[in-house]
Amino acid sequence: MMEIKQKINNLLFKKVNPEPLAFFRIVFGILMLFSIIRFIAKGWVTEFYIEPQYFFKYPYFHWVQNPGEFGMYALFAILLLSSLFVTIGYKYRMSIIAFFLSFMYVELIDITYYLNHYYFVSLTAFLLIFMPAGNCFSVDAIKKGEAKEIANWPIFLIKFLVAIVYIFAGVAKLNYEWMVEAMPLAIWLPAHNHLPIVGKLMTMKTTAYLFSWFGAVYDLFIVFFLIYPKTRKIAYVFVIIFHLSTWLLFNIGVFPFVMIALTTIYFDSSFQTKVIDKLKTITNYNTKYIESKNTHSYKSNKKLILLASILIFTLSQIAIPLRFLLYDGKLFWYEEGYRFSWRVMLMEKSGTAFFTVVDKASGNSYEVVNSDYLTANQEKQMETQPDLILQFVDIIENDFEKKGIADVAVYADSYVKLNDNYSKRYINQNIDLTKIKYSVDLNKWILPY
Amino acid sequence: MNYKFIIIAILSAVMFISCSDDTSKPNEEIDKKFLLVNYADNLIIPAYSELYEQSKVLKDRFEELRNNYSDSLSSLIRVEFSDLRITWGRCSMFGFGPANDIQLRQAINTFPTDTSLIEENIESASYSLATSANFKAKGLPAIEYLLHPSEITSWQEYYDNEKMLNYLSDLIDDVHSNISYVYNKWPDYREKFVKNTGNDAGSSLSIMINDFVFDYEIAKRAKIGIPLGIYTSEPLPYNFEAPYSNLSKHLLISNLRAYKAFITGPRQNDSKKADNIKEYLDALSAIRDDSQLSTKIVEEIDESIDMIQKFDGSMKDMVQNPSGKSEIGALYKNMQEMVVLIKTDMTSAMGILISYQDNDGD
Repeated sequence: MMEIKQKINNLLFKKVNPEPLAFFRIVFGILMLFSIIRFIAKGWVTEFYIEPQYFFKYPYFHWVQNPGEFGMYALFAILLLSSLFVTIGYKYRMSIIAFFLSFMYVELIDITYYLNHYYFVSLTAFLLIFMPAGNCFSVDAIKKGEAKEIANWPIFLIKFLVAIVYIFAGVAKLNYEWMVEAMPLAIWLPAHNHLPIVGKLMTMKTTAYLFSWFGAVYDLFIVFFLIYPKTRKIAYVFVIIFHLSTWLLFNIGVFPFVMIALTTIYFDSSFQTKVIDKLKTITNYNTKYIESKNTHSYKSNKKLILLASILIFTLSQIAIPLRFLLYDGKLFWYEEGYRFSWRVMLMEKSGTAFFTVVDKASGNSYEVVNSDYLTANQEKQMETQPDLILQFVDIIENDFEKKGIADVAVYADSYVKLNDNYSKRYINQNIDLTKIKYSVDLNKWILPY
Repeated sequence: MNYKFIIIAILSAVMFISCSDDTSKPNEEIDKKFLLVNYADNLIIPAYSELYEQSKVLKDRFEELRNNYSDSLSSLIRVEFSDLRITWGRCSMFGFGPANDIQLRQAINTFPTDTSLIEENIESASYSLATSANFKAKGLPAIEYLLHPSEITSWQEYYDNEKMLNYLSDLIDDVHSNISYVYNKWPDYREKFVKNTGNDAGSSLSIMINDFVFDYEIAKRAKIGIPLGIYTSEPLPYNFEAPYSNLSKHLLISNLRAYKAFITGPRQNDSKKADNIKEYLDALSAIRDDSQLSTKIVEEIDESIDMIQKFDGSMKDMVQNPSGKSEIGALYKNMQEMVVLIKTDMTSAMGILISYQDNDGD
């Protein structure tokens, strides 16, 4: 018992160099700065958050409202500034809080744009709020003095989070479709037949199998090879190869670079110390150190709160991806417990849905043109996701009420295609969807796979 | 632990599984560049050049008519005009590239045409056809309206109206100049088109397939759904594509045939490479155990054509009686089923994103 306690104590509170955390902060800040600029430059602020008439809400966050054009650009201005300040470590704590809150705000406006990597960024930013990442090689440290050492728990938590991402992504791949049918890669890879040299290989089924199996093995074990010093170098080469090839083959934005940059957290701290020292020399950075005992010796009650928080965070990060076990039915079909679980590029799913509104008073029926209400991205996401379908039914119902047709029934004629199967009818076409709440069993209105 | 052994074991397992069902291997190699070249040179450019020729013939004939009226010329013009519209049905799905620059579909085929706006324009003789407000008073549907007057005593008398003739002449010139723009731009655009072989949202195959689906959905909605009253619950007989010439059925059939030709592709160049959508889909869906998707799509289109051929009388009349309405309703349903096949099954099998909207994936 004592031994475990000591081990935990050692793992979380042993003194380590502050450079790895500072390095992480700088890399994270630069990546965020770059991806925010990219997001604005692509015109996505307008396209995703200003042009749509309606927004699909997150569960429990229905109250989050779009702040309008000025508000949106103000949020992105805050994101730009705060990620810059996080990078240079200027008013670090305030900046990372501002970054986290505005990032969350933007994310929570519309679930259409949910991506695992945005979720990862949210979690990382959240953790960084509590970490002493601004006291080494930063503007703050010039004024207040540089830390000589920090406790190990921030490094441990970041390593833990990256490990969770990879391992759960790996576990998620251990399913029949991925391993035995090489789905969905057997669909996605042949689309790259235009590539020089490898184009022909992409159309071969064996390639899809190799990619699927390599992907699963990579995700499951890469963290362990990164932790083990002897395999670390070669493992990192694999990290680069893996993420660059996903970047080349799939439309996944900055995520590959986020992972390539942030997995450096597993390096021996001498690496980051060297880099930061180099940067200090280059920038003529000079500050005095603070006495280490003032920096991070925790009082026992503070330590207890910290310990409990770390425990809650780590356990919840293990539990959330596993919550799908509580639900019946095929996960890919119903998607209950699909999000927030590191299921990355895991299935090919698309759909078509037509909705018909019946005016109960007159018996007249009206087919809905989805694009009158939704953007192409929203429509695409809605067509395969039960919770969004119900939100759309709400949108239609309210719109008809505004037009003076208050009492309506809404029926869906809807088909979904999963992996290499033919599209199948998705929603029971005889059920009035205005009567359905998401809390009702999905199999009451979604047809079985 | 001998890790070499583990690697060999995994690799042989992969080989074993992947080879176990390679018997149904596609016999044609898929090659996007090949397909794009074939479609550009043997389908799209020929269709636009025929459209261009047709619009020029109509323009010339109409000038002739104005200079020197004859009854035979008057009826010939209506025939030339019908040919032009039928040719348009083979081009409308290629609304990307040059056609997108000038919104060709809206510019030349916005219907129902606004007859009172047309009369107003003729009367005032001051209008600008370039403004979008006049989209519903110009183009093929407006020309149709003027070429097919409901009550006339004689054609010669009808064509003796200078104001009307000026307007009609402007409409024909406008259609011709819009078509000319697209026709003249295609040779340049072709080079870009065949080179852009990627599969992101802006790649040629993605753009072409998306436009095909989009155009089909428009046809389903505008040519059948709206006049049938699907969105309004009241039938709107004059919202068919060609209510004055009673050509709606004919146009829709040739339109559907064009969709089918898009799938089966222009003439085969190479038996080793998949150079049309059907072969491309067949090569990709070799992993399926059910019937071919391409066959299903073609069957679905044939079924729709069959249904229209069995229609008795014009759709404009049919929609106004219950049994005719339900026949058109069945056609609508059939056309709707096809949307699922092309929008979901086909694009997903080809690894194409169904939307122009760019976005990061997971």
